[in-house]
Amino acid sequence: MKHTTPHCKTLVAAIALAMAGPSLAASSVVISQIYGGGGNNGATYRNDFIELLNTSNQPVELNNWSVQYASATGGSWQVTPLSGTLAAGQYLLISQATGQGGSQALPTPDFSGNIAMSASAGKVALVRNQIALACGSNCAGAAEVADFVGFGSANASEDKPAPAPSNSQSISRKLNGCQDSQSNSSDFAVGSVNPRNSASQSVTCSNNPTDPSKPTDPSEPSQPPSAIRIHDIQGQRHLSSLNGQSVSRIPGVVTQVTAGGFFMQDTLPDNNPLTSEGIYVFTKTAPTVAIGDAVEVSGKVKEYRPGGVDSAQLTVTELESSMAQIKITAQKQALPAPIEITGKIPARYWQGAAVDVETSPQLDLKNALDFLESLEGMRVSVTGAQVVGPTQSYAAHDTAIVANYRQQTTLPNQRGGITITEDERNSGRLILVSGNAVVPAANVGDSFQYAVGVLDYNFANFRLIASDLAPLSRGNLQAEITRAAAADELTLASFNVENLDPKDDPAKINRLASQIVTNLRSPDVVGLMEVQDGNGATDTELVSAAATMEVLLNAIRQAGGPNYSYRQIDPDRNQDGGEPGGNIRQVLMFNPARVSFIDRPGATANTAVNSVTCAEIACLTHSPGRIQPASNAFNNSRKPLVGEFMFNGHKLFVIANHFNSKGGDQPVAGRFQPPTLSSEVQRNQQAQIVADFVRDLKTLNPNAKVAVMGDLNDYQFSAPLAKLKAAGMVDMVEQLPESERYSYVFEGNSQVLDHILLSDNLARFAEYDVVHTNAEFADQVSDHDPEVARIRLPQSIQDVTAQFSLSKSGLVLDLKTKQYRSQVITRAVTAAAGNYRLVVKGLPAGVSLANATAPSASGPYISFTAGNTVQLQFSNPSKQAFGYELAVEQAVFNY
Amino acid sequence: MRLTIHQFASAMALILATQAAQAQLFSVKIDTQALQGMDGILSFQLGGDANRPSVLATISRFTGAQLGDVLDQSQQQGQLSQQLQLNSQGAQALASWTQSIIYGHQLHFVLDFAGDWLNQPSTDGMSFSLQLLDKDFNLLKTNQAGLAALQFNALPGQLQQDLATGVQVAPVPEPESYALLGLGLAALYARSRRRQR
Repeated sequence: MKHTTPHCKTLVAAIALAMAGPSLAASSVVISQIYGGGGNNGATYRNDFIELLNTSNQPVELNNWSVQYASATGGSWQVTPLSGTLAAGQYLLISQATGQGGSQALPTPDFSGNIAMSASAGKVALVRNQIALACGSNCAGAAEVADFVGFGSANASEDKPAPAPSNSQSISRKLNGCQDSQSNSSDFAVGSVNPRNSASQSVTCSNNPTDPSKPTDPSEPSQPPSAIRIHDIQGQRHLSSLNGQSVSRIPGVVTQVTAGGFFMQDTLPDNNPLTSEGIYVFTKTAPTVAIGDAVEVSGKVKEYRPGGVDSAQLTVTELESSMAQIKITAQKQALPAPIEITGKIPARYWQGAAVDVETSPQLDLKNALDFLESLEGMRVSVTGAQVVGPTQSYAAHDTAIVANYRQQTTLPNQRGGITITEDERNSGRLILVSGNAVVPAANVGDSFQYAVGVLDYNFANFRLIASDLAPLSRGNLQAEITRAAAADELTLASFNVENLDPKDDPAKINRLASQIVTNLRSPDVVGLMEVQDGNGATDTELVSAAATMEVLLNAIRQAGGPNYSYRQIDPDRNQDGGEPGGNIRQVLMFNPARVSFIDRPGATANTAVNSVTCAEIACLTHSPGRIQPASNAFNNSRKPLVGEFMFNGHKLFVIANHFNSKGGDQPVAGRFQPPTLSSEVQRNQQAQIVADFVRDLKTLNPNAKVAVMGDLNDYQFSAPLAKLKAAGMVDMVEQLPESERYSYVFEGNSQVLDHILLSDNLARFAEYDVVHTNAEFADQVSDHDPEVARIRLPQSIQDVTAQFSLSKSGLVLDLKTKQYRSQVITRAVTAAAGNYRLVVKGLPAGVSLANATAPSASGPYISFTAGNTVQLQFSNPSKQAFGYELAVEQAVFNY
Repeated sequence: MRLTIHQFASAMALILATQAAQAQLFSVKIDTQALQGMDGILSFQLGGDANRPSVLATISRFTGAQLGDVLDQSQQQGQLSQQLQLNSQGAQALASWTQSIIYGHQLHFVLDFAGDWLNQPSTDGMSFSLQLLDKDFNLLKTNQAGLAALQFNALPGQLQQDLATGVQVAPVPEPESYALLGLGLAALYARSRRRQR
């Protein structure tokens, strides 16, 4: 099942977010002055103080807020509680510790604390609660911190610390406290001490329009463009410090136009690599601008979170605007040169401690998330853009790429993709999407010599909106064909056929059949996942999959495959998850010419199958049966389907599974690092139940042969798989080279979701192959690759020579064929029925049995029926004298 | 225990009868009328397992075909036109004699087996065979086993014959047997004379 976030849902959420009313500009209260020299030698005032200013045009509630102080390098915070409301433009004075020096009292403080602040270096935070900060010495970006000032030699600050004040001087925020570019060093200046309290003259900060209902007319020629640039809006962290604030006449050049807005980029960048020079302007309706237009945009700064406000995706910093607020000042301007990012994306999304990355005070360019965030909305270029995920069927032709032909990737695989490991999620991946340039349908292994475009973030990934794309260079990836199996090899396959129903395009059904017959070479047993009922996703009483299987089995016969049979159990309507109304289930399909199914009928959707002792040592109570269908672990998920098979005298228990999907997990390129894998909880429960079922079988029969297969929706190194392995099951995919371990390609990451696990008595004689037919191809019939295990299971043989009297003739040379011939008369001494093997042993080198039915461990043999005369034909080119012995063997059941 | 003359004579007769049934000297006649005038090949073979018993097979008084080139021979002495002996003991899997012929209306020869074949029956197989072939080595007369026109298999405790249609094998008493038979008849005569007294 696809676990991509549905686009439509994201769009709805985005629109809802865009239409939400203006939020309280909470972070618009700033620390406007700090004085730590009070009472010191040479001081005028006797007290230290901290001064705040509401820079917004609306009152701000300070109930339960606090100001907090820590030393220049310390992480221990002292708290002074605040309360009440601060009016727009109003100051607030909070006095602190008193000293012996000084001669003058402060104006009446609004709040008083007792913190002895350093005169020259320290850190002050305005906090939205009254709990001492626990974030250590560096709290500048913590979520609860509304403003932060480090000064002097402070080890944390917004950008660089403010200059050091002294016993006689304070530091004050410029423009009467209004300037806030998220840089303490540039926003503060050292000067005379000037404490202001709530009774002081209030101010109107210039970045606030006096009346928000009347935006500044961008065509007003008399005013110069804003001093605020795009890099001031983007800032040095994930979230803009101007979020929610209105800004006016932000200059930029249009670099890419989209359906509901455009990207623009400043042509006068700063020298700060942490700040992006590009931004998305959200106009909601199609903007009337063109690439190359120089514009000035007024609007409101917004952190838009794709997937909805509660999603774990990163935000995109936007300007919410409309064409009325956008002035085109020139046309056909040169676009800023793209920044070449080939080889520069760090190898890890996040290297720090577990965190909400948006609370970090400052981007760290060693983290891929931060590096890419620092380029958000900017023009970038990628050289050697290799396709590592096939083009998706979405309108934007989403195609996963990595730069430099995968040279910086950890585990490139032989077919052109990149394989994940326990530690590697390939942070260098970008999703290439159509912009001015349309992304052609591409397969893994194809490449573009270069790709240029604007870097965006959506659907939990950084996306390169292509404006200039080299022609696609084809890698000519071909679908794999697995090798043919020997007669004594049992072949087991697992295949998620992605919501198969009779109404599917016949081409899909025929191609599925062709893959089963040609690419998989008609496996003896095929566990199918996502077989829907006869009317597919139409939600009716119908849950039978008979019509679905009929079209598939017909197509397989048409493709020259065997006349498969199948067993399955209809689920209860809409109880097993998947596409609503589709009633997906697993099916055990088998070739009756090769294997036989042991039917123990009677199980329904709600019958719990168990294992019991029987003449065959261990049996199922029902075959087919469903394992613990009533367990909460399988709520809204597929119940495991188990059946008994016989092959060559061996009994096998085959369990076909489709565990719950990864939907709901936090994304790897998201806000929370490391991401929480919430869907794993249910999968762990499911895996435990299947593992316990295997253990029960093994308790009854330690030699039970068991296969657990299916779309387990998790990796070979995951916790759910560990539970199955702990029950003695061998995950066959781990026998492949590490780079070849994948059955699915998710957003460019080649990964394992489908498994065949075998009990070790099968695994020892098994060979495994993921047959890459779908996952890497833009044109695919399923999002999963099928997989095959071939298990050499010759008949179990016992020596019954003692039950026979054997008479052999001498040799006669057939002059025509040059073969030496003799005959053996077989007489059963004791009653014997059935088929036997006459084994010829001890032939010397150079002599062979030319008419052997097959080789065997004890020697070449000829099948015969007791009482018959058996002809032997020897090849003996050197005409040497030779002897041989005869034995009789018989196949026996092996449970 | 002391044997009476009566008991002795009875035992003697029994031995003779047995000897006659298991004679190692055979007269072989093969009807080749349908093949008369045809170019062909015959092949005498004596072969078996590596631990085969020691056997000497002597073919003599061969008549009924015009003999041509000898095509192959191994572990043999003499000539088919005079007296041919095949020896089972040797490094090769088979003692054999293969020769071109032109078929007449009936082949005839005498076959004499010597060695411990019968006295020491072995579980390892041993076969004497004669194949009659066309000039392209296709079998012309086949026995039940489909291997030859004539085949003697030494099986444990028995000498099994497997003959194609038109092949006649008749045991021939050896001179020693005739002498013994004469002695036996004399003894019987003497006994009857004594009774008459």
